Amino acid sequence: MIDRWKIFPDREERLEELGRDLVNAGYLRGDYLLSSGVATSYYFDKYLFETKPGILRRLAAFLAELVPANSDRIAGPELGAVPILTALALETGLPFVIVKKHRSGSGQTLVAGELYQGERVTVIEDVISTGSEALRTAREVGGLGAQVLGILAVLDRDEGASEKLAAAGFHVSSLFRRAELGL
Amino acid sequence: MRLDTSDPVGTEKLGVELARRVDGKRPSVVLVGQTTEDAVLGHIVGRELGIPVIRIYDEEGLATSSAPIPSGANAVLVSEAATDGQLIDAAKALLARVGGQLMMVAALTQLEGR
Repeated sequence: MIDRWKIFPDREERLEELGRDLVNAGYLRGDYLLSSGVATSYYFDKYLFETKPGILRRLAAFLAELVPANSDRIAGPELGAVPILTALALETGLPFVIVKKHRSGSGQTLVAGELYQGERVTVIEDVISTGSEALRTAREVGGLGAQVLGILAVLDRDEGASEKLAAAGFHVSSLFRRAELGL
Repeated sequence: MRLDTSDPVGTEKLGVELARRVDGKRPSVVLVGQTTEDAVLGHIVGRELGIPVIRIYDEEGLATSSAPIPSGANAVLVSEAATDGQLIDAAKALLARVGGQLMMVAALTQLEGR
């Protein structure tokens, strides 16, 4: 008997499908050296999935479920997190701020956009390995007087980021973990 | 303290002093990070010591260099303010791949927590 209600995939099936699409779009095998100094046999090229609107739109919808409801703003590091921030801002209506890698010529500004003291901010990151970039972003946001509610990533490579960020006092969650993608 | 590159005389003096301090280690290559200040300082040190200068990049999570690092290189990492341990880790890893080593880090400000 045909289950007429299964014509459309349910949430879990759509999430699994998104995970497969991420892998097909951005998973690269090879000899890579991460900026953390860790050698690895694979690399997730975020731009290969972030630049595809069909994936980006679904990513934003699923990430929106994980953004704490009391968030006033989302934040993320340039450049990789910016497409996700933009899509997530459109999905949630939350404003965002970009944390730059280097200070501007004046030597002071490290954020692009608005950020106010006391704001509750969720940090968004694309792929986390050791978590160094996410940690830098969270600390910069916190240092400017905002309250960091947590760090939310698209993919956790399971290489120590969660432990490192938790040890630094930040709650971490991710849409996917490496093992969940069958890698 | 930040390097004020609008003062070329002062910048030159600082770079020459850094070069004087690392010269005893006999480095064969200067590595620098991505900032303009690092590049300026590294250029002065490399020029003073007569050795090549190679920039290290964090290209969206991947460690890369502006040119191949010579095999067996003995490197000095020159930085305006080496507070970021990630740059040091990347330099060490890039050097290890070619059988080289990071002999020292030369910075204008004291390293934090390293």
